[in-house]
Amino acid sequence: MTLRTTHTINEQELIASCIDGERIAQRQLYDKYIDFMMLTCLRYIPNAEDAREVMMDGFCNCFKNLQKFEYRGDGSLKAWMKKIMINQCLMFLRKKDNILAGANELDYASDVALDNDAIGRMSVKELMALIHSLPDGYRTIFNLYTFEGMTHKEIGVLMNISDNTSKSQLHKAKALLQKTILDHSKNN
Amino acid sequence: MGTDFEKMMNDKMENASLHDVLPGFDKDQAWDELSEKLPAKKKRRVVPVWWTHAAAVVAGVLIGSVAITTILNNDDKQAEQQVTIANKPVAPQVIVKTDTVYVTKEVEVPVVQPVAAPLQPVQKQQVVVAQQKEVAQPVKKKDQAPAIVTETLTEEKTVIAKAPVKKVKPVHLLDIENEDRNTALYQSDPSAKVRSGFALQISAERLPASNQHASSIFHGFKKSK
Repeated sequence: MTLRTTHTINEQELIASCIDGERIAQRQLYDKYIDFMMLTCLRYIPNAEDAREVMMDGFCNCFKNLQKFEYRGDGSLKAWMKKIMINQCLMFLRKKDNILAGANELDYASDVALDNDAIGRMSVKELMALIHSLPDGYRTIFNLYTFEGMTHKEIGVLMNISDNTSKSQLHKAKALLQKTILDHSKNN
Repeated sequence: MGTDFEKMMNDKMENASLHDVLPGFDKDQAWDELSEKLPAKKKRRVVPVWWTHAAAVVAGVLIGSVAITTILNNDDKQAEQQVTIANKPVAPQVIVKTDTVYVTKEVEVPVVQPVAAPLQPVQKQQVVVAQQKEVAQPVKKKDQAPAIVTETLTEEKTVIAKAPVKKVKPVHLLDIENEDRNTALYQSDPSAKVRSGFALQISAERLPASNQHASSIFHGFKKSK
């Protein structure tokens, strides 16, 4: 409990303690990144319970494979854990259903003129709900491109699709999301 | 527009908190479930100090016993190796052999003749007495021809040597009465005496059994003379 209260050790010492199996250190690492990892999982998986399960499996994999992690400065551990969480989410989506199934059936609107303040006026919960409304394929590619900063080539390799498919899916996802946000802003 | 849209979305999600999106999320409960999935920490056993001392003593005794056992085993092995080496026919080996040295000594041996044979005078004969003498000789290797070891002569072999021929007075069986004449003859010619004695010996040996009587008469005559 001392580790949880003082926060005197740095991240490298925390990692070493987690590798040694120190429960207190693991709990501290969990508390440090639980919000970010859970939000990440929620962006990919609309169902909260499924996202929770996936997040816990991701944390479990992080602790088990922490001895393979190479510390490269501040933020490296967060990026490494985030990558594990995203892979866990993709595995869940692959098991559940074909990610890209049904994406092409939707009619997507062309680019719409979206007010810059429209997104600012929305809460995170409302924005997350709009993201959840996207089909799995659109949502996954939109998340990978917008929030993870991946290129279409990387997305194509990760999802086993071509670059053009990734671009097309991203374009449709953005158009659909902008239309939804515009409709939401008009209603409110 | 697209770039601004993505940037605005990213900024909005970066500053988000889990409580805003999912207010009812119980972190502690999630941790309890997660900690059950994690492997248990290896507990370090706290050993008292006196246990370490006892362990050191036991370890010392064990090491000492093992060392002594090892040394004894090595000695046994070395002894076995020495025995093995001794059994190998590599090094030259010296064994004691006996040889025989013959020494001649004159003894009187009675001549025993068969009843049918003519009687012969007792003669001094040379007897060879065998004496054993130890001689050390190196033994040849096994791979070569097998060593021939002469057997020890334990029995004394008797070699009958001929006694020096004594002067035999030539006497003709039929001319005993002419002894005086022959004596005179030998005195005048010694070589003739020898030749005549030789002839007389041969004639006596070749005397047929039917003339035994005559031969005995001859020997009796010789003895008496």
